[in-house]
Amino acid sequence: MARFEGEMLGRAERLASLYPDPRSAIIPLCHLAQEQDGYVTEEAIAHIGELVGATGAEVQGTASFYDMLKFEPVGKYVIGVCTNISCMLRGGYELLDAASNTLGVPPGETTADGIFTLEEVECVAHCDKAPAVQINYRYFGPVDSDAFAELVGQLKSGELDEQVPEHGTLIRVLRDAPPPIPLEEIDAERARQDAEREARAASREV
Amino acid sequence: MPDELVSVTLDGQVVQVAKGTPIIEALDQIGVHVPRFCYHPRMSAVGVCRMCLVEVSGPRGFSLQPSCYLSVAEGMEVVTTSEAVRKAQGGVIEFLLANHPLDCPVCDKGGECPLQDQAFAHGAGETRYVEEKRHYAKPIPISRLIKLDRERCIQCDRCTRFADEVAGEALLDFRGRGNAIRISTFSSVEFDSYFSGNVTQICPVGALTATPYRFKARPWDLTQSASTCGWCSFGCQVSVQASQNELTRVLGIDSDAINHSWLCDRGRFGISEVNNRDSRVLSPWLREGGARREVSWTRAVGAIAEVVKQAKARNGNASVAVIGSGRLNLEDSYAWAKLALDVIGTPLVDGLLGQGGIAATWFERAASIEQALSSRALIALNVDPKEEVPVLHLRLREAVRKGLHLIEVNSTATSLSAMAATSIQLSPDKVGELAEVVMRSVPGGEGDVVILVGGLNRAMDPAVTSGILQSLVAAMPEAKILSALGAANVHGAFLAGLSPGVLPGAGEGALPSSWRAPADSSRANYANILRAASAGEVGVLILLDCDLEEAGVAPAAIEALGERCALISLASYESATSRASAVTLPLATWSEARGSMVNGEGRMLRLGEQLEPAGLSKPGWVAASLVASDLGNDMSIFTAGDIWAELKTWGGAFAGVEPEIFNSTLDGPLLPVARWNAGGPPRALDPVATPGIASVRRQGPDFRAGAVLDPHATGTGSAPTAKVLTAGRLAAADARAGVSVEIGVAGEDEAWLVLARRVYEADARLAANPALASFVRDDRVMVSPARLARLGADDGDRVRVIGSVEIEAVVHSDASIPDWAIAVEGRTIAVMHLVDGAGWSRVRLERLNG
Ligand code: SF4
Ligand code: SF4
Ligand code: FES
Ligand code: FES
Repeated sequence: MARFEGEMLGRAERLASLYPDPRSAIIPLCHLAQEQDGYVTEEAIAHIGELVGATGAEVQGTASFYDMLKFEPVGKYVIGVCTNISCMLRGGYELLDAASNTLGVPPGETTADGIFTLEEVECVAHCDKAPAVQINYRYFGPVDSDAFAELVGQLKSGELDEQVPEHGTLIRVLRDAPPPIPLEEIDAERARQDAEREARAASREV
Repeated sequence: MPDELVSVTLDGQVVQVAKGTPIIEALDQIGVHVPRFCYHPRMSAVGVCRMCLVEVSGPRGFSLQPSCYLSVAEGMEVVTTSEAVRKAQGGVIEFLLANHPLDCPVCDKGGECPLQDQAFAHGAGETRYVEEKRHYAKPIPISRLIKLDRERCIQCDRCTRFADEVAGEALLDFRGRGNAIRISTFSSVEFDSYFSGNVTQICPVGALTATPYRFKARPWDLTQSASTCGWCSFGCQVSVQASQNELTRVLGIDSDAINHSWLCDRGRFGISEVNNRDSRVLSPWLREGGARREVSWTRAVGAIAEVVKQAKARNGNASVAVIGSGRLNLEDSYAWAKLALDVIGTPLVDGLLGQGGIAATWFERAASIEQALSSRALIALNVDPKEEVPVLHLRLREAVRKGLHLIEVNSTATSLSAMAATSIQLSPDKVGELAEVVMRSVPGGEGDVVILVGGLNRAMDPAVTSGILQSLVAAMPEAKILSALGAANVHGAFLAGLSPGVLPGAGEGALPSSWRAPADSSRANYANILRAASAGEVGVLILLDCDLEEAGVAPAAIEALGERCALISLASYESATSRASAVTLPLATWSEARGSMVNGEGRMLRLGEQLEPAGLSKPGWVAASLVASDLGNDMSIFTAGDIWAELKTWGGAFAGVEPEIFNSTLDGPLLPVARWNAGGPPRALDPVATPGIASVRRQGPDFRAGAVLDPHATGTGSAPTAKVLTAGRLAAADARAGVSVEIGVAGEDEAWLVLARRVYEADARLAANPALASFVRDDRVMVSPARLARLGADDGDRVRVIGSVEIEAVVHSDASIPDWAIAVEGRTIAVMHLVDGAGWSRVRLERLNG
């Protein structure tokens, strides 16, 4: 399964129709592809191109700008260990080594069972809990080597399923966007706020 | 409307510049050259390389700004020589070189490379960089014609911008980010574009190179001359470059009027067939007692004169016929017209393969490319520019983006369909009403209406197109015409008198004193001549660089023809025709002889010379003159200059034509010179826009100013002696017939054939081209879903197409094909034989079992 089909195709078409220019949907569609297959496959890129009227080269060019879109298969869990300054001072590199030992793969690779991918990442803005680990973009910290081994155990046993969904899943509750607000209403609201502001300014001047 | 001017100070010089001009162009205008990489005068500015930084005054004082991205504004001050600018330039160069492999000694760009040149001019001279550089696999073939070396790329965005913005085929794009950014195609999708070669021309480093040119030569060893592409009638201006008597490459010259520096791959890589000596006719051949033998020119020419004399003695002048293909250059066409009409005196001359009627209507109202692109409405009749005159497709895309109103009149969907405001179907039953329907879709308002006419559907007799053209012109008497008839010099052949009913100049000029009494060829026509020859009514059939197989005659029929009459061919390449000929004369081909041609807007263009003619080939006019001598009338043509002197005497299109005209314009003059402004003086070209023109050695006359066509040209021609009835007004027979041209009736289970011309067709020349031969597509038949159902076949089944010959191919259903049509795609040469000449060819389908 790589091209969108069935329900996925419906979601893809809906995404493409959300924008005045369907090309704006390239990134959301890449996320959708990643949700479907765990990474953005070549077939998906070609299909996205068809859906939005772009060439494969253009979709690939746009998508490859982003680190969070993967173009090779990754594990069910993508684990990032931060080695930026705060985490480094608090043992980030040691943690990365430990993680590597625990999982049995060097950073950048995926375990043979296809469950874990280990990555070295730059600051993920969890500095106050350094050293930080992100698993499928969910944050944990501070983590030492024992805590890391425990996390891995919990992931394997399914204990963390609620907290950490499979790689590629961005949202688990699909909500429809509220109906668009008519432009006139927006204009009226703006005019009202402008008038209020002016009135406030006038009262200050007095 | 004159441009609004603003006053700016550039390096202390106060100048007036049109508002909206990018600073870099304003600086170019006063001769200040700012270094640059990403800027290209024919593409939109992106400002990504930062090489063009200059100091620009603003509300907070001077700051460094990219001069390609910022436009001039009133009162603006620009400084290009300050310390800050110098440091910025040095910094950018250092940054660009940080990851550059500096493998100039083995790089094809070395010696003409903007990065190399600008690093020398603005770089530090020494590197501070000791770290390991980026490494990529290389070279990567991104198509059969182009190789990519990612390590050399400086991410200037030129190739990607070209693919997206100019060609509209974004098959090449950046991939990745930051240090990992690189040029890439997608997956296994080739950068398959008719225009792909342009990226190798504009890449400012050696990252994109043309496979046929790789490691062929160093730029400083090349010689070059200004010339015109000889593969279609658009007339792209080129620099043709050679080394050691072999063509190495062709670069597009930025001609304002024509190609804006772009070329199509057919034109750019056409040199591979010129260089392919194995497929060339290298010496005269004579068939004696069934065997073909190489002979001397004297023998061959003597043999031709002999059969001509015999035929004339037996059955009169009309027993000799001449067919051309529009491929000879102007000088050759003129000499052969004189030989045929005046010396031999035959009325059977058609050098345009039946397109004479269209040409006759065209010349009286020829529009320039510029006029067509800025017209109120452009009506495209039976034409797909992308397939027939490819670079016009690029110009059209730009014009449509700027608001050109395009009306398409074609039988099936083409590259125009997506751009056209209206698409009108050209169907066999509506030919009579077509003009009226088209008229209704022309918007009112100011400006010309221009008709762009081509020969897209090979299965439709050009006479049908001619008829429609007449009716359009009758309905819109003010309309102008831009012609996209395919063969390079078909318009020159017309004006040289190689077309039915036309004498040289196509005007009411005087008969030069060396002419006697030219025959009246107004009843001649390619199809009729061929019919007469097959019926044995013609004793000698002379073919001027025309392969009958390519024109649609099956090899067996050509051989039969060779038995019924003496086939004489003048040819550069071996083909079914040359092999079946009684005598073959080797013809100097493109770049082997100086000369000129006329493009589809009636512009006279120079053809440069870079090679010794292959083997014993000679220019066509020399061959004509030799044959004439043997017939006892030397035609007074001893140099190309003699031809020019006569052309001027003829007047009409050639009034005022002097060899010096090529000196005064970059683009060549529109004919007749007197009616048009001869155009501006030669322009300086941006050396970074097309690297490789300025850096190559020039041999012969100054490159930019244009070559004097023939230094020996002198005579001013003799005084007018006789008024002759000539011109387009004498009109070809089919033109007089108007729309009543018979297109025939489709029988039961027959349908009308649509056989659209393609850039890559498997003719003898393409087959001889190792770089391009693989681009010919397999044959396919496209029909409407309803027809497929009636046939009881499935998509992908094999079918037999039955017309004047039978071919087998895979059938596909395509909803855009009208039910009355059967479209055959793919261009093996056998497909062309489905065309049966008169009217509109019809075919029938049969399902193959299994
Ligand atoms: S390949 Fe050449 S043209 Fe394309 S971005 Fe790189 S340097 Fe520029
Ligand atoms: S468009 Fe025609 S003239 Fe121009 S490069 Fe192509 S073949 Fe040559
Ligand atoms: S430095 Fe590791 S999360 Fe900020
Ligand atoms: S930024 Fe101006 S030329 Fe590149």
